[in-house]
Amino acid sequence: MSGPTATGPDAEDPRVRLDALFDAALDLHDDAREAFVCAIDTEDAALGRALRELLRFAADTSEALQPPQTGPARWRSLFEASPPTDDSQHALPERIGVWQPLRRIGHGGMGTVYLVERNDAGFHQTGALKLLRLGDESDAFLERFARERQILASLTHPGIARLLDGGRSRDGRPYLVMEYVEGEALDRACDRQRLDIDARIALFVQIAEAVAHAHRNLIAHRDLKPGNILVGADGRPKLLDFGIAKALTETSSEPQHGTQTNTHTALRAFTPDYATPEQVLGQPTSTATDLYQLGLLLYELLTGHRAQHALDTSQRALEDAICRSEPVRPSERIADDDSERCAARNTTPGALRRKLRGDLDNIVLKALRKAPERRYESAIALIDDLERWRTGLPVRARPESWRYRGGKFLKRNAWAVAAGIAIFALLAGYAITATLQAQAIARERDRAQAETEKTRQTLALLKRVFLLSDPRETGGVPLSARQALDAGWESIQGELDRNPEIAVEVLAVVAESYDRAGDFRQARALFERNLSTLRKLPQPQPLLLAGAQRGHGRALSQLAEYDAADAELTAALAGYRRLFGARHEEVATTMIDIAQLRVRRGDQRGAEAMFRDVLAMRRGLYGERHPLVAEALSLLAMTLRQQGDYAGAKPLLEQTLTLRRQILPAQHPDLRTSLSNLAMIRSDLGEYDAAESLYREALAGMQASLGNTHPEAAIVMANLGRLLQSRRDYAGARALFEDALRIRLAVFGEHHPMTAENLNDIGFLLSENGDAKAAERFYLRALDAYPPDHKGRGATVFNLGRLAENRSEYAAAERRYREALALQRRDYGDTHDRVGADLNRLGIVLHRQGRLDEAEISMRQALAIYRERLPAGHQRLAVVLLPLGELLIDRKRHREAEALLREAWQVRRDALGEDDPKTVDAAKALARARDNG
Amino acid sequence: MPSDDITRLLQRHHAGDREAFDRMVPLVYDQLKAIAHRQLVRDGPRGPLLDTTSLVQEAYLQLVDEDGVDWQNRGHFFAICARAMRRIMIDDARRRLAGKRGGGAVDATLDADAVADATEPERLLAIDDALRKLAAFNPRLAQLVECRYFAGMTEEETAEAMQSSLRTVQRDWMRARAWLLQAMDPP
Repeated sequence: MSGPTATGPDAEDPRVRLDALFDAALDLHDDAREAFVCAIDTEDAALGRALRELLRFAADTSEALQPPQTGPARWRSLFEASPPTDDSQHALPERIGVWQPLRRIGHGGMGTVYLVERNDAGFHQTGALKLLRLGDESDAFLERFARERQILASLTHPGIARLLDGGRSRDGRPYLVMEYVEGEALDRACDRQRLDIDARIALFVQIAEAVAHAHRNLIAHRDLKPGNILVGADGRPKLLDFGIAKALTETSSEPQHGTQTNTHTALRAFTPDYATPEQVLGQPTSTATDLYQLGLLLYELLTGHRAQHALDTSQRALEDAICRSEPVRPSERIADDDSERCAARNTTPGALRRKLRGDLDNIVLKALRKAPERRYESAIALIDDLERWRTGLPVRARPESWRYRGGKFLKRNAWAVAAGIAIFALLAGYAITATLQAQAIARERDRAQAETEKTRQTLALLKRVFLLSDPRETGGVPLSARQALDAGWESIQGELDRNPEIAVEVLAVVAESYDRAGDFRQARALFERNLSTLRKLPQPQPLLLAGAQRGHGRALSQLAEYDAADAELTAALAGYRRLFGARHEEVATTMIDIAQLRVRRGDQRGAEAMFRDVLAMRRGLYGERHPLVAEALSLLAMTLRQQGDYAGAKPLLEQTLTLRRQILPAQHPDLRTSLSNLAMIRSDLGEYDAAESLYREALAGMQASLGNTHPEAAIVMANLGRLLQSRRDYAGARALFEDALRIRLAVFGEHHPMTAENLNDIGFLLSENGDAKAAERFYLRALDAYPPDHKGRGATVFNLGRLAENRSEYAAAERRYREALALQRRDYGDTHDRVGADLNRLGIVLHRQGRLDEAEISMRQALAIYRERLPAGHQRLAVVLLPLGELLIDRKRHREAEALLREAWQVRRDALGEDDPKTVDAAKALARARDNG
Repeated sequence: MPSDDITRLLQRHHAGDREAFDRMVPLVYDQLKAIAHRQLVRDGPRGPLLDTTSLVQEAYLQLVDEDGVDWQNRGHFFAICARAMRRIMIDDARRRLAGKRGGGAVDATLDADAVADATEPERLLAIDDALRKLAAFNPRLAQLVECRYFAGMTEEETAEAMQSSLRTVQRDWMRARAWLLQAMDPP
């Protein structure tokens, strides 16, 4: 069987991306598809080859994979009782407690495991029953087990097999029944699927999370090993036998203090190669025991070798192997002839050594420290360090050294994970600006030379700001990029006062760094300082002045000081026009800033006009195939969308996506933005299939490059969740919303618009799913989480109105709808479709209260908005047509009612089919209008 | 009654409890086997044949209390049956393969479709293996294969089980098929 074909030694699992590309390619017609594959070919030949191969198989029309025959003999084979050759059948014991053994599924040192079912008192359940091989100890065990059972039974986590039952069989042997888990032992599952190091670590983190959950409930496992962890067909790990080791070893309710005799009881509840020093020495075990065993597990997952191996089970051999020998560093454990182990990890010995060397070595060895108190303090701390490794942050397990910090710092910047960290890009950008400035201002040669010297000095100072990462200078404390920026800035302030010409250059770069890091107050203060320094210089510096004004304007705009921002940005625009003329990138960039300010102020039309100018200018400057043209298209499209012009936005976003696919590398964040923007629009327009596959492609790309915990991924998850919800896949939607909420709570906290919006989404899902009480709780929590004037509030207020309406509390619903209407008119303008929805529901509850005149006015306004916003014949029109038609029936205007209801029925029939319950509702209303008319 | 349990699990699954799916599979597995077995015993080897669809329908009627669930749960149940059918067929393939290798008792009744199936166990296991790989990065496609291939569902039934449109099913089947053929293609 062939493995994935597009894998280099160090590549990430390429299949997710390949699958997304494959899906995208299937969407295209022949020529476009060929062009698409060619574009990928040039970027990555192996990937292109794999894609071609998949497309070839997709075109294969042979009989391959026809479902197998199901003739009589097959049925007999499938469904007759298991043949007598299966000897486990003979060994099946009689009923044990309430459990009927079905077949034997395993046996080991502790006893035999059976698949069992119980079928009594209206209760049907399957489980895995472990019949223990225990003689004299069984009374003590049962006593301990009875004590532990309540706690163990309360341990519910998707990564932990639940304890269901326990007791003593008729022949006196104790037994336990656990949730039955089908799966494969961890190590085998990883090898067979050829999981690479990243995938193994992701799996390991899931295991550590389950352990962390148990630790929070004060339960330790104490016997973690690959055989106790099964990976299900869904790829998720599940831990077996939680807490059982404790019930087996403790002989009284008091914790055991280390005595040699204790380890020599008849039964050792540990497996020698997976024992911890404290277990071997008979010292108290605790959650730290699990951390050591997690270390052993991680060691083995990464290297394929056991971290420790005792020659025999004598106390001496155990102490030698486990308490005295230090484990070999994982990276040094990989030998050149380990090719099979490496193949199972989809890599080569050299590449694997490189991957493990350093951080992963240190993380594993920290978990494996002999003294429990020197290990990671918790499973969470271990997970956190692995997460740091994954995202390229400095890990805590690492002995600090300056080379390490530099290396990490560079790698992190290469990924540009957070905007605030893209400092090297700024440095590079600085050199270009300085050169431009030399051309624009200094016409004389010696003047240009002076500029060059100034540039050199400035760069030297800037390097000191940004490269202050040597721990010898920071007292050995690792710094985050932001702390490094603060400290570096602090260290050069004194020198700036002495040389204002250099100070203005440095201030511009540092201020922009703070702006990108999201500290707009600090950015504003530095730009203000820069402006006042600039104005004091003997020589005017128009370029630097325009730049500082623009930076200042951006920071002000972020801080919602709109009038001041407008003044600064307008001044900057005038400055750039004087320097470069009407058509120049600096002019275009400044116009975008002004347009975005207009968006923030709610002036969508003004923003739209400005974006159109930028688009035209950039097309003139660069032609069509240019990333900046794509950016302008995308900005324009999103403004149209905000105005509700979906049909106008869609072709622009399609153009953007096509363009970006052609000119950007596949992992580029702008490409994902395009995918998810287009998905959003197509979903707005009811094109759900297309939207879903676009979202999935975006999510796959994002997870491949940013991982699962990035706030950007949460946005796409939430959007996809909404889409699945509109397709009634509630389970899928809920899972996505909850994943997104977890990310947002971690990144933003409770009181943040993104968290609030997420809470509202969950509320809406619950309400659609019939759980009004829970929905209301989430809505109220969302209102609490929103800032006071946020434009998201209106939607939540509206949703609360829906809940009241469903409870038939029409007066209360009316109040909510009126509040939502006022908020959304303010936030979105009079003709937004949200306003249409508010008016429509308001009309409906007015109708219910018998206020027919008011109801009709409200619904007519709603219909006018819907007709303006939606293409003719769109099924959502029925949302207004139907209640308005019914209102008109009550007002005895049957002919008018009939016309509207016929339209409602037609649009639903065309979109949903004749038999859809919604179409049937419309048909019934139409029949009522006809019968009465 | 077992139907309470499945109904409850279906509701939990529907409410987003992913674990519920896995807990239902062995229950459905047993039930499918029991129904087919009873049928074979009752009607004898020459009796009328049950196809997968009617088997699954029968299991649904026996296991699920229809008042307790709505129509979407029927789809979920189909998906669970498909997983169970996969297990049934794979367990059977393993058993047949073990019989072949171990020289154990071989079924003496060699009728036509048994001959045609001579290489099927290996093939089934290869598909199962390829399917695990597929599930690792696209579990939805893998589920679709369970429905179409192992449970022999029609495209419409599969669409119901996957809660997606017919068009998506057709297209995803093409995708899944390509991945499986690629995984089983000798390098």
